[in-house]
Order: sequence, then C-alpha cells, then structure tokens
Amino acid sequence: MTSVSAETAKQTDIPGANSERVDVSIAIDIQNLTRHYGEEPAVNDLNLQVFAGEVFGLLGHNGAGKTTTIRMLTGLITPTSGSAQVLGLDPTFEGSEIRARTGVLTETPALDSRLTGRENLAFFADFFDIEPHRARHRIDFLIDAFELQEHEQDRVGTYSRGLHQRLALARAMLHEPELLLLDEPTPGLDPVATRVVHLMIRAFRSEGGTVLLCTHNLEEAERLCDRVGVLERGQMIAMGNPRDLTSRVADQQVEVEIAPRFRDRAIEAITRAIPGVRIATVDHLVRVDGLPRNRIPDLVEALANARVPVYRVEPRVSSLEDVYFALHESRSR
Amino acid sequence: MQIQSLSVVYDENITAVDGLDLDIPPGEFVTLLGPSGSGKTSILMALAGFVRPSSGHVFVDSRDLLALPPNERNLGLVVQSYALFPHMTVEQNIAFPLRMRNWKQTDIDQAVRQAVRMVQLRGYEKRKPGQLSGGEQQRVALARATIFDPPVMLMDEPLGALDRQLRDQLQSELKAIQQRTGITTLYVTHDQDEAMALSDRIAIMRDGSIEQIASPQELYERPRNTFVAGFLGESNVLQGTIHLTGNRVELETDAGWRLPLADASGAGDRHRVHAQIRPERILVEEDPMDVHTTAEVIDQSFAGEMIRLTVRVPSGEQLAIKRQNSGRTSDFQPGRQVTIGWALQDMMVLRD
Repeated sequence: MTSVSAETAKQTDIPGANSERVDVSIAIDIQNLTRHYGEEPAVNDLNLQVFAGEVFGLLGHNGAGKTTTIRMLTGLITPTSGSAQVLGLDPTFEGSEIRARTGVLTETPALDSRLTGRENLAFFADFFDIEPHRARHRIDFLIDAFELQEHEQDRVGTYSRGLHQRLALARAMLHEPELLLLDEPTPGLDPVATRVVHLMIRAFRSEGGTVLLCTHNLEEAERLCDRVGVLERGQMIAMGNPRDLTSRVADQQVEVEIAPRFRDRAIEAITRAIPGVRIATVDHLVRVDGLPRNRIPDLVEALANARVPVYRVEPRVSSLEDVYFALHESRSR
Repeated sequence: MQIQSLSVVYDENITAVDGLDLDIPPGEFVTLLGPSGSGKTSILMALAGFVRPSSGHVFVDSRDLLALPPNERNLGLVVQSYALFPHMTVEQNIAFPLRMRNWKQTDIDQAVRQAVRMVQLRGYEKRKPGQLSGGEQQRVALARATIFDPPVMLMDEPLGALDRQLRDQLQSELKAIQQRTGITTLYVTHDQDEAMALSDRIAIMRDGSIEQIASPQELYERPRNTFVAGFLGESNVLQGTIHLTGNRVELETDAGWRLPLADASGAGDRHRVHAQIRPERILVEEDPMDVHTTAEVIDQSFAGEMIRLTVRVPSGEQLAIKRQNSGRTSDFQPGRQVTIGWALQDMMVLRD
C-alpha cells in the first residue's frame, strides 16, 4: 500500500523556526478547524499545513468544504472552533492584511461586466492602492501573460467563460501576492484558457509563490500539485503525493476491446492466467478489475495465447470517485 | 553552497534524503545521479522550497537558504515541467521572471539583452517558441532561469524529454553556458552518460545518501563498491576471497579461479571481497598481458563502434568484453577458444 496518511510531517530543527519568529516555511497552518452552518459541519476538525513554495491541491466535490475553508482563511467568515494562520497572520483579526498579501480566485469571481478587461484591472489596482505607474506596468504584464491583448478593450460582459477566468486570475495576481487561493480555476474552460491558467500557476510557483488549489479534477491535481489532500464532508480523509494517490486506483482497472464472439474464451483465459481479478463484460468490452499495472503484459499474453483478437487494451483513467471509492474500501478493510 | 545534514522525510516514515552533507565550491557543476527513488529530486525540491526538509542547513553566501521563504531564495531553476509560454516571444519569455517581480522596464531590457547574448540567441528575440528548435527552446529556458544572476542554479532532468541526438548537442551547449556564467550548478539526472559529459563531480545516490562523490573519471576508475561500479558503466564483478602471501595478493573466486591482483585495497587475508574489471580493459589475443587465461567465446554482438563478447573462463565464470569494431568481425565466433588477459592494475578490489 502506498504512503497516503492524514498526518502532516513533523516540524523539527528548521532554522529560524523557533516559537518567537514566524516560521517562513509554513504558508497556511490549519488546526482543528471547524465551521458549522446550522447543525451541519461544513468543515469538520480540519488539520492541514501548506508549505511555503508548494502547490497544495485540495481535492473534493462541491460541498466537501473547500470553499468554506478558503473563506475562513481570508477572514470572510469565522470558524466555529479551531484556528488557522495564513502567512503567520490570524484571519479573524488580520483578514485585511492577509487579503493584501493573498490572491483569491473564487468560483464565481465578481468582475464588472460594464467595464473593459483593462478597466477592471485598473479599478482593482486603485482599490489596492498600487501606485499608478507601477500598476500600469503590472497590468501590461498580466494582459500579456494571460493572452488578453486582443480583448483588453472589450467589455467584460462580452467575455467567454475562458476569457473571464483568465482576467479573474490576472486580477488575483495583480497586487503581487505571495499566496494564491484558487477555487476550481478551470472547469468549463476552453483548452487555451486551461493551458494559460496552468502555465501561470506553474510560473507563480517557480517564482517562489505558494498555491492552495481546490479542484475536483484529478488530472489537474496530478499535473500541478506537489501534494494533495482529499476532503470529504469537511474532513481530510487522505493526504500525500498526487501520483501515489492516483496510482492506487488508476493501476487497478483495464478495459479490453475484443471481438464479441470471443468473449467467453477471453474470460476463461484471463481468469486462468491471473486469478483473483473481477471481470465484467458488455458486448465487445471486457473490464478487468483489480489488475495491477505490472500484470497488464500477462493479460495481453494470455489473450494472445488463447488466440483472442484484441483491438484495444486501456488502463482506465481514474476520477475523483475512484479515489473516494478506493479510500473507503481500504479503510473499511 | 554547503549542504549540511539535510533530511527529507515524507509522511513521517519514508526517508527520502538521509542526513546529506555536500560542499560545492563556487562555479562547480555537480550532478546527483541515481535510480528513481534515490532521493536526488527531493534534494533539489527541498533547496527550491517545494518540499519541506525535516532538518538541515543549506548555506549560500553564508546565508541559510532554508530560513528564507522560497520567493527570496533567488535560485535559478530549470525543470522539465515549467515550459515556455508559447504565445510569448523569446524576449518576453526571458523577461518573465523579472516582470513577475515588477522590475523597472529599463533594468529588464538591459538584463534581457545580456541574457540573450549569453545563450547566443541574438536575432531570435522576436520569435515565438514554436518557431525555434528544441535546442533553441532549451537555451531560452536557461536564459530565463539565469536572468537574475542567481548564485546557484538547480536543474532537474532538463534534457529528459528530448531525443538522444538533441540531448547530445544540448549537453555541450549547456556545459558551455554554465562555464561562461560560472554559476554553481546542481544537476539531477538518471542518465549516466549525461552526468559523465557535464559534471565536474558526480554524487552517486542510493536510498537518500551519497554512495560516492568524485570526478567522473575517478568514479569510473575507482568505484567504492559494487553499486557504484554497476551504476556507472558496465562492469564485471567477481566475488571471492583474498589471499595474502608475502607480497603477493590473490583473489580466489567462489568458482575457484585464482587471480593475481595489484593490491587488496586494504582488505586482509581471507577477507570476502568483490573485485571488478571494466569490459573494455580485457584484451583478446594480445601480447604481452600481465594476467591471462584461455576462454571460450559464447556470444558476440555488435553495438555500432563496439563489439561485445561474452566469454567463459575454465572455472565457469563469464566475463563481458568490449572491443573496438575493427572490421574483422568474424574473428570471434561463438565456440572459439581465445586467450584473454589484462594489465594487473585493471582489476581492483572494491572497498566496500
């Protein structure tokens, strides 16, 4: 079994990490954080440390508690119990300072649809009190970086979802934040917008920035994140390296396309060669469950020896559901 | 750069880096070479700040890097995953880190001009990555990583995604740029040829520690143990017992073959050791040879400019031999009896 544990690494002997000084190596420190809406806990006894310089992926569906967590981190709502520190600051009392040093992208970013893209950025630069010359320079850069040159003079009301999101992320980065809190930055985006958003997240990290990325897209988490945590009903149910997490599930299922009339022969050949796998079939498809990746060659060999014509063998790409399923399965074992 | 007892522990129990000590003098090019899982990438990630070390210090210019937030560490970073922006020109890509830091435009222009000169891309400033060859793109990435004149550059398999031919060409460019800038470089790869071609010193990594650190030549000629010998190039390793009689040092292999050795590398009488000899140091049908024996050819294969023979000596042990392909390829057909041998000092006892 791979190393996915809900515990975070212990802090020992880091220079400059004594109690009087702020520990620069931890960007977000969440301890026993809980938030109730009425009776229901939206976030339930959450513990998490995000290290400065990493992209941490918070995986979970809508309602898992991601948005509530972000809102508590920026001081927009107060926790029912527990505590959080962001860049060494307390969100409850120092929310405005946190927001001044943090870029936030919410799921429904409020941009002014009557203003142009550039005007929206200028408006926020003014709001953040950025000196006009510096702001202009920064806005030019962000418009270039997010490929908004051709649309900067268009009113945001005319923007596609992809353009809208690129502008929203540009706005989140406008005041040169040290930390980005991103709530589902890419669902529903066109490929160009997704690529630009991913590139900018990587670039931000390469410059030493820290990112908390909420997503339900496993592939995105695997591509961008140094570590991921899986959130369900307000609780962290697993944490670790994204590849470890996905390989637990991704490696287990293979789809084989064969000629339908060879189905029985295929099932027999597979069960004989690799005992213990579960097999389901629909027409010309044979789905093999519980097959580790390194046994795929054995599967192919068994089918070839049995003279079953094989058109396609494909390990199934796993989704967040598969991760949940595998985690629950391994916990109840 | 001085790395002192650096450890990286994942999930409290998986030790990726185990108390690493490494001193790199200014301007040196050091490569961490090892199989996947040996901890080499974790070291780089800890220095860059993407992974939190559990203990240790890393001094650069007498400041401890680990006490600085990642955005103040000022390290040049070249990794496979941080691609160029396809919609930006060469100039804009190189300027990116400076614009991200909101530098003044005049300072940016000057730094970019210098960086473009450094990687020899003058005249390419207005092109986009799609209009460049793979090698040129890599030079842009290098320029971007070095534009703020970092004291240390970290590179994680920067050539990993490229095909063989391009890699060879880029290796020499990379080396030339590193020498021109004089930037201290820590490089990670699992490709031994690349490590040999680029490095001043190579650290062979295993299980989070350095097995041996030395110049490429010394590592090749004097590997400390079977792991290093096997990792860097091909090697014939024989297991046996040392016999010391007067000035004579002999190895008695487990199959009963007695071989003279130049020295025992500190091993005492009756000690169990491994001894190694490189395949290209074994000569076939040549005079004079310090040590020689008859052997039967059991396999002959071609690898371009080299011919590889496998022979069996009378005690039953098999040895690999590499010879220059001289064109007389049918000389050593399987089944033929030959005399093989080597210079006494070419077989050495591994220290541990």
